[in-house]
Amino acid sequence: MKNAGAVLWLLVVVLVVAYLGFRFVSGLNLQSSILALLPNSQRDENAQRIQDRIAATISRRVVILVGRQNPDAAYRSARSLSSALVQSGLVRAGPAQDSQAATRQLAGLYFADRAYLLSQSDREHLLAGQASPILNRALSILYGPGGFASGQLIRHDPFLLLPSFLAGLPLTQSQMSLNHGLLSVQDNRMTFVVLNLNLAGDPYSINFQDKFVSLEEATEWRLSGSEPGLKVLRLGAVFYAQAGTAEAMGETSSIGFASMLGTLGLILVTFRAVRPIVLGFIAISTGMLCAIAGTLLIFGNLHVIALLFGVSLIGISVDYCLQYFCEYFDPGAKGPSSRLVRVLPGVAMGVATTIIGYLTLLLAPFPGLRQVAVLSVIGIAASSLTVVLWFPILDRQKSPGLGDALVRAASRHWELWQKRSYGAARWAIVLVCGSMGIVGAMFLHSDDDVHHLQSLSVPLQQQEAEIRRLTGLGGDSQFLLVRASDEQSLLRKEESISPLLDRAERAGWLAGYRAMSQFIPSVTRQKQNWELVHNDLVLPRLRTYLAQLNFVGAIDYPEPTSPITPSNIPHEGALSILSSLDVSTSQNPAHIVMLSGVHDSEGLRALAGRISGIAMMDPAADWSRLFGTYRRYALGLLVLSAALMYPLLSWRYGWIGAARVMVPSVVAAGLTPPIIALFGTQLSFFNTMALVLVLSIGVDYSVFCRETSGERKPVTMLAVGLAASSSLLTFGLLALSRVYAVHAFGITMLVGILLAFLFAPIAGEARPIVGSR
Amino acid sequence: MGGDGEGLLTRSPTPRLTAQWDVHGQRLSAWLKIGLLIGFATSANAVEVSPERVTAKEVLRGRFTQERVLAGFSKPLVSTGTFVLVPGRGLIWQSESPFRTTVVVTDAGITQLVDGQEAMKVPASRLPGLSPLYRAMAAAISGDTAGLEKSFAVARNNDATHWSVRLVPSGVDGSMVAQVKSLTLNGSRFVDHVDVDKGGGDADHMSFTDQRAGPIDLSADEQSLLGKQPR
Repeated sequence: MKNAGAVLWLLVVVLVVAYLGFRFVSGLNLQSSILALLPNSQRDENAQRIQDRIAATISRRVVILVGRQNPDAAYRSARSLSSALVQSGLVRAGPAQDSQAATRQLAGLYFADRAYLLSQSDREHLLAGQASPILNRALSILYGPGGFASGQLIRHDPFLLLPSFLAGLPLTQSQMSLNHGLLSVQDNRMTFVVLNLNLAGDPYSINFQDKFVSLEEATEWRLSGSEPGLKVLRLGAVFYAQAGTAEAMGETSSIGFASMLGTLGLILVTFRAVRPIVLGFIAISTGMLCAIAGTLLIFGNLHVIALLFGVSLIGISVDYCLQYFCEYFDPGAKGPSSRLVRVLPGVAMGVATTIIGYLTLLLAPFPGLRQVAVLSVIGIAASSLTVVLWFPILDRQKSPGLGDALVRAASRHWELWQKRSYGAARWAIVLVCGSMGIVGAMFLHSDDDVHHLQSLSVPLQQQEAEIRRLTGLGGDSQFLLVRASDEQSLLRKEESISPLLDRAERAGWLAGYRAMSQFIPSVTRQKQNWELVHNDLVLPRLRTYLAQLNFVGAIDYPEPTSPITPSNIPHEGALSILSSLDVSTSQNPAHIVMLSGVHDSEGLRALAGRISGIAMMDPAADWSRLFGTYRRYALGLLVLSAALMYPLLSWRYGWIGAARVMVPSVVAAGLTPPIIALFGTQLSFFNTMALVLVLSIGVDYSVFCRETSGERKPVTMLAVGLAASSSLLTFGLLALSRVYAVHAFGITMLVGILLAFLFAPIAGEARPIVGSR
Repeated sequence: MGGDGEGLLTRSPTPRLTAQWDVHGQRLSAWLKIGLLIGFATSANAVEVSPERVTAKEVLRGRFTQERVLAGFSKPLVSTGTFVLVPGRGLIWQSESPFRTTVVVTDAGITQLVDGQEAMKVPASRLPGLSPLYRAMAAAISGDTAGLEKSFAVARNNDATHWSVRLVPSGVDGSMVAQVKSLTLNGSRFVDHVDVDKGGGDADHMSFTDQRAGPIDLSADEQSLLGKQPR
């Protein structure tokens, strides 16, 4: 009968493996897009595609500032660095900068329509009925030093409105000067030459990162060796990615190695046998295989984030294995079946409460959390089935005879909570934990910043800040997406949000923006401009103005014959920016408004929301917000799952017994956030998920303590201690990670599990230990 | 990241438009250079002839009269006012007549103020060649005439009390400089007259008087003007 169950389970596992193999061969649908984590109603696939495309373009950009005290030397070094990189084929040079030719082309493009074009400030003056600022400016240019206003120009543009329009175009970063086709900027007696490059490969490919960054560093080193005094500042996703990869590799090998070695050592030292390791591995891996297969079957795909957390949650099934193996120490357990029977009630209750804990995540309206729930519930169930059905068959009959030193040590932990003489110690523990919790609560707040997912290299961040200060260039990835039924409506929408953006810019919400309509106003706006110019300048002012100047030639300033439109102006050369602002597809006309130096993403989002068809796109903020929502849901569900476990526990232990079983884990989950806040780690989705784990693990420990009695109590405590130690080794060590999110998860597990273990004996029966172990 | 739009244009629209722009457009950037040349010229002389050199630690002040001849205008546009040249920082050009305006030229660009209000600012990045010219000016101030000969063919004509310099763009420094046909400076201790032939019937004639070089004694207003660079 028992064997029949084991065979059946084997059949299921074989089927699962076959299914997974099939899915793997046919292309595993592994998702990493934020879209997949959003509820269906919140999705905007078209917007997401545009965002992804822009993100890809941005991620390929690289800005390098080459600085030296001697400007000529700075230019020389910049040129050698640029040509070394370009010649390698790893980068393409950005557009060369020649603003003289560019200005000439611009003027040529706009000349015929000059009477349709007004700079923003000129337009504002005319709308306010103020012609004199424009006239004063023209006079002051005409009378001023040097002076570009030739007799010919006055004839064609008497009020000098076209130069004003051209000067107002948001083109070059203004604090930079341009020489020999390269931009440069002066700072503190250094000259920095700006190199704008585009990567020819994928910055997130590890191979490409290595090639590019090592070539860049080698060239830098060579230039600095031949002439000291070189300062290079770098900005680009590729540098961060390369540093992050290097960091993660180093970390994974050190933390991962320590954790694996520690866990193996712990089990080997305790059981002096390899068998528990092999069996534990079988239990956990069947759990994970079944979980992945089940999730794929139900959802059709698997999200990387869900996989990450799901796997951690399944990992706690090692605790059930440890319960089983610790029966090696129990003289009452004569063979595998007997061992199983003795731990079965505890394991069953533990699995049941854990499954309740994880199932509540299903209630969240977010596909990500649901996947975590399904993944972990199937995983835990499958692992425990493996323990129950296979362990008695795979395990050997004889107990290895391990002596009782460890068991005696474990029984001390019972005494701490049950021996009368430890009363003072107990009070001390309660007092210390309680006061840490109260003090920590004052420092506790939430932090959902998505940047915590990466360990951003500090030197690179400093360089980015310096580049931003010097040039205004930054790793900006925010933009407004503008959608409408046709091109002219797009331009009009942009024109309606421009005044709001200008106000936001003055309020410091952002440093600047670039929109298609600034380069090519809508036809409506162009006709309005002409009316303003004609009615408020030409008709009332032109005659007296020219007389004042003693101009006697003929004026050639007619209404343009046709307006300028995006389709009749080339999106290249001086206006190559236009091609990046137009993101239309054949059915969906769309523009973007590029934002730079955004300080108040939320404010801008609200602003954009005021005009239909305009949406703020801020990938980082989107992730942060999503993590914030996930955190709030997970926290709520954590409370709910504790509430749902209680009836089940009451059914077995009575209302009061159930409350005692709940106390250790509830205290652990409640005290952990304030305590880690004392150490500077704030509440995020990552430690909330850790709290879900702490609660499940804590209830397991309590259930094990509650289910055991008499002579088995020290053995059970040993198993709980081993479980806690192995969790600390696998999860707690993550606290050492320099990736904030991983660190947050790790430190929450570290503190939470220590607390859950510390308080676990409270759940046990109050009677002192029988016998004299 | 900024590179996107500012690239070189490779394609001219139509020959007609291009031709028109050649007439008007290049002047947009050309005038700045001329402003600097005045500054350069004023100090160039100080280096060449005056025993009191205008060094990087000095400031040159004076009055100007500018007569601008433009094609299509029946009379020249005449303005007068004062100027302040601070080597290494910039030039403040304040007209008093026919109306009060202030133009500030620095390494970062040009700012024009009317009634204390910023009427126009053109960053240096819109004015290619500004930095080399500014450096040329600094070179002149420090007596490095070799630096000037990179951009101009220099012809000198000195006698015991007067001198004159004729600068013709050598074309090496790009076409913008070539917008000016020639510059003629003459004076005794300082530059007294500058004549700029801009071609097409346009020309500037400037006279400088009451010039004095001395230690840097900028007023708060002047300090803030020179700080008010296009950013």
